[in-house]
Amino acid sequence: MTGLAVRCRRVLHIYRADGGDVVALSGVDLDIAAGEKLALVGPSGSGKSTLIALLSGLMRPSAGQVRIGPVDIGRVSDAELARMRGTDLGVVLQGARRNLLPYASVLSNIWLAQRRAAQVRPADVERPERILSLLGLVGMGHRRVRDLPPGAAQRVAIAVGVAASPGLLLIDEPTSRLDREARDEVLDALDTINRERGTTIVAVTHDPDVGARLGRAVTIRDGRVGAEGREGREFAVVASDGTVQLPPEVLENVPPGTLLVVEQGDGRLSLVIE
Amino acid sequence: MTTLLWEMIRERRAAALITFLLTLAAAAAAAGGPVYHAAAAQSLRLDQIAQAPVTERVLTASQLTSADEATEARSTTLPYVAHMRTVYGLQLQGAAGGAQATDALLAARSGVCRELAVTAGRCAVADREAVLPDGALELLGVRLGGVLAFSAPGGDPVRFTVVGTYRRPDAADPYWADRVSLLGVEQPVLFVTDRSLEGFGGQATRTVDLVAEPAAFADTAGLAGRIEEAFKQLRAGGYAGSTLMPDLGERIEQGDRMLADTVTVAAVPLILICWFVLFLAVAAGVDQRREELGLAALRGTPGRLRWALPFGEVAVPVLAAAVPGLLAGYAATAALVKVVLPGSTVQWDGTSLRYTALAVLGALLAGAFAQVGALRTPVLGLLRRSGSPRRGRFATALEVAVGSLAAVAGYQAAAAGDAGGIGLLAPVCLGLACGLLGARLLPLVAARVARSALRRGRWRTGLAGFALARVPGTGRLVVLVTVVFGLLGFAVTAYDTAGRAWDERARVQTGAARVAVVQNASAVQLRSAVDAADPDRRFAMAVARYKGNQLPNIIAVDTTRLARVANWPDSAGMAPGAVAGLLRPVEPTAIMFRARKLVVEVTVDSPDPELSLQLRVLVISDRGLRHDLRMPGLRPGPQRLEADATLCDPEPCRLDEIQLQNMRTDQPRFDATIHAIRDETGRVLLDAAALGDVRRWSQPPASAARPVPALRGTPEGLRISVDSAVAADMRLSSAALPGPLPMAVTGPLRSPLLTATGGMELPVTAVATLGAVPRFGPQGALLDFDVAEYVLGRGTALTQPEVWLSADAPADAVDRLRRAGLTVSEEYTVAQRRAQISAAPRLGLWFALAVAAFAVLLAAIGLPALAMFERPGGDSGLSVLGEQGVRTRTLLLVSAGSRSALALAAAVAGLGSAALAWALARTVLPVFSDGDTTFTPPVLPEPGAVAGPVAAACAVLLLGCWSAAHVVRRRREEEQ
Repeated sequence: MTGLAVRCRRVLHIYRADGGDVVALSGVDLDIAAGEKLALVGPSGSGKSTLIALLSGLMRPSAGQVRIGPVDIGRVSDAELARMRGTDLGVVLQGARRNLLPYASVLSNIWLAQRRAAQVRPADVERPERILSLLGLVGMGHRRVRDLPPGAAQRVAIAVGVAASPGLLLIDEPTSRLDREARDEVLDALDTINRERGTTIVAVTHDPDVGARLGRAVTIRDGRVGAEGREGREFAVVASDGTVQLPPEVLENVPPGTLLVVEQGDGRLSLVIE
Repeated sequence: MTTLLWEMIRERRAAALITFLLTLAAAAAAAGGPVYHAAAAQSLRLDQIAQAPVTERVLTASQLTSADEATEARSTTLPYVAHMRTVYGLQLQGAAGGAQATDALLAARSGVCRELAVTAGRCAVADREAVLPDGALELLGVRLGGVLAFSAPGGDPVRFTVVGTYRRPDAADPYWADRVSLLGVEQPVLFVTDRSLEGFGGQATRTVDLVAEPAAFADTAGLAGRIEEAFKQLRAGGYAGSTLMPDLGERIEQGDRMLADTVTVAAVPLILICWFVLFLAVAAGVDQRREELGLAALRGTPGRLRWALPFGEVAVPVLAAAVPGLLAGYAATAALVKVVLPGSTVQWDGTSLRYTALAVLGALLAGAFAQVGALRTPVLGLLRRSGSPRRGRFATALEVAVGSLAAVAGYQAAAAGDAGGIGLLAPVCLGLACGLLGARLLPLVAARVARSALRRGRWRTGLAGFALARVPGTGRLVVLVTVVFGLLGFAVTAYDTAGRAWDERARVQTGAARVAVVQNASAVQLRSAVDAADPDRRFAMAVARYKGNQLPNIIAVDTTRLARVANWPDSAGMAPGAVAGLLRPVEPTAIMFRARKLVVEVTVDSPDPELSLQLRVLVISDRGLRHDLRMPGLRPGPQRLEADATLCDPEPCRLDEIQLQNMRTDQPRFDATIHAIRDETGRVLLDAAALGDVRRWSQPPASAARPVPALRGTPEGLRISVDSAVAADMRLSSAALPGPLPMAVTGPLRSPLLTATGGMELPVTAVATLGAVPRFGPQGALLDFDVAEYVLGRGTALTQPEVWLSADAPADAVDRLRRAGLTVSEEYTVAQRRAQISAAPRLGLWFALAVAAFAVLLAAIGLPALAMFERPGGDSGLSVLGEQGVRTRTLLLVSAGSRSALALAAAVAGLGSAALAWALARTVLPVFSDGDTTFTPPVLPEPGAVAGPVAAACAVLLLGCWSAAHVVRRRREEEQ
């Protein structure tokens, strides 16, 4: 399966709670091209995980549109969502062992993750050994997950996430609690997947190096896309409603209520403090 | 899938083991119930057959051969019925011996040599050989090896060689088919071969007896048909027969039904409890691996596989437990049967297999049902371990359904008044309902108590209360413990009250510690034998039964010994001495005389010179037999009438009745005056004054259709005046007591008259109203033995004569009675009677107790087993407190305390449900084998009888709580 494009438009998500509603996402606009690698970064509570949950179909947006390839996942049925999670979407939760049956062998975990795909499009299902080879786990198929070192366990989690050959891999904190060597192994594995399969990869991370390594890092701040970094450069992003978030370091000098003059000319857009 | 399934089971082998064991228990209970029922039914059947009278175990038929028919040939075909022995016999009445021949019976009976206990010589196996009963050699003047002549009426003597002697047969041996003539009570029986007997002419009796073996009653449904077939065949052969076998079959069937009901009442809840505990275990296990289920959902695993994998994890140990459960149930029940039902055999049948299959299917459904909630929860809910939003509504619907079921079952049990249908499940349904109510209330109460405790600074109590209120699954444990204690309380209460009912009924119905049943005795014989055996009036009492028109249960006892000998009912309401005084206010009087001839001086005055009367004097000899001395030819004018009375000398006779009989069809008026009664020497036995005392005489009640003559005492004697145109009842019976017959009754006296021997109706009066009388309990009446004999029996053979013996009667008391001339056919004790009336319910209640004990054990083991699935600390927050520095020991105490409080509160709720079930549905458990409703068992149990088992069960449960707290602590430590 080739990569799937992702398109979010004015995505809003509100958590209903007894003590009052909490707005987790307040108008996210995001486009991810098929086969692209992207890191979602930002402080805790900014809405990264909520966005991943929406992309993986675990939750439905309160408003707005989330489109994975041709499918608006806010409108499809639960059964169709289940099918998509078994075929088109690979989800890797934070913490490798949360994604795996710790007592089962690596092969059993992969077998379980392939069941839906094997039913729906068996031709696309790769042999487990091939997946293990892709992730540098050759010879580990019969080992139990709980016996694996952390880096290998994370790669196994990714292997399970891509076992059904999804077009989109959503991965939450792929490198947390890993040493440098293990982190590199994991990032190499993601590169390999993206390169060989064209899988679109969206990773949530706190680690700026990961963002840099993936090539495109979208910063989520206060439930919105706050900025985007590409190839070492940081960009502000204009949302579909025309809003632009200023970088935090700029905001320190521009308190709320400050009036700015927007000047445009010669291909430049300037904000001038009155 | 198999690999993954195996990995899952291996990982959670403790859970699998628990599932395996719980299913094993359910399967064992399901298998054991029918096995126990079959063994208990067999034991009960054998017991009932052993205790049944011989008449209920045999079919007897006989025919007389014609006088000229030589008894040459037996019927061509004899009936054959499976499990019944066909015994053909031939009997010929005649006389044996030489010059002083004695009445004797010549008998042949198939298989007799196998049945006779030969005491000397051998059995008769060849023609013209005979065996005689012990003691008959002397009586007949013959020796062993000698020749004895036997002659049938009108026939020539036939000589037999006496080849042996035998011990008199036991009347209780069904081989003799209750044929008294063969027992040698009245005359010696000479057993010969049938060929020897067939050579005789004269009228003989041909007999065919079908003697049922116990196996004949195994299929009671087909018994009547088999008996009818045999009757048809016998009737075709010219035999007339009778049997009471269907009565026994009916009793056996009734006992079997009772047993089945009781076993159902016990076994079904046990299976339900096993299912419920299994459900709890699986539900707890599912809760523990919600994240894993969420993971499968996250991977989009197909629905069938999402179901199949966790279900397979439950199904494998469940199915694996099926066969071992079946075997374990069989083995455990066989062991139980060996202990409590020695002699019973345990057999396989298809029922066990079917019930086990049902139990396993139920276990599978319980396992599947436990997973429904988890599998319906959204993926994110599973990953975050939050519950299904629809669970609350489902639980409410379930509670409403259970509550309705309990109400219906309780109503049916209370209204129907006996076992059957859903009423049988009333105890468990009510336990469930109370458990669900308790599950609702307990968290609320616990939270309230906790808040109050915290306010008062008792933080440990407060923590325990909050833990109780917040830990999920608390409600299910409350339900489990409530149901278990409900069953325990119900079973223990039933056993205690039934036991006391058996004691009281056996004590009252037996009448005394021991009863000797006597055959063919008159009141005089019985009384004199008892006096001879127990001259000091310490331990024996003569008893007989009488019947009235609307009072079928009258027992006549020798009231002079009543207080000493009888088991006086607690509920009688009066002391036996006081009752005795009322029943025998004065010594009954009797007119006794000794004479070889009676001479009666009488004068008849009548306008009809053709009047012809007959004077009858009814006397009762010293053997207690009634004799009629008739003096016909009484005509107008003074006369002396004479009658032979040799039977009244040297032993005296009792004058029972004087009667004038009109020898013509019309009824003229006349006066008859009896002046005196003398003996053959002229000595006056009754003079004019004695005869003229009209209080000495009783007359039947007068009516227009049957008037009675007027009596008047005159200086000349007793004047009897008949002044009616219709036939008068001219019987004058000797009055034993002045006034009506005194009787102690247990209810209103519906008829003021009792019919005495000869059809004379006599007035009775209720002198005492008792709560119960010996033998018949709350539905009977009591008379004095002597008074009853003088007034009612009057020299006829007693109905059901017995001698009651007190507990301190000497061991040879019955032998003494036999030596005194009584034929004691049977004796039984209170314990035997108790065993008889309690047989079926006792077996069922034992099972119910065993089941209750097992259920308590299951609940106690279930607590730590369920704790193994619990997340460390659960949602109670206790583990967090541990991290915040609260000592582990304190947390352990709080954890154990909260569990113990839960268990004890639920136990109290269970006892409440038991009380409710007992109030509404105690009738679902039969108390007596015969279904008797006359004796009401006590409503309330002895507090001590219930408290002991309940305390023991509580201790076992608390031990389970303590273990559960330790399991949780250990798991927490392992997690850390």
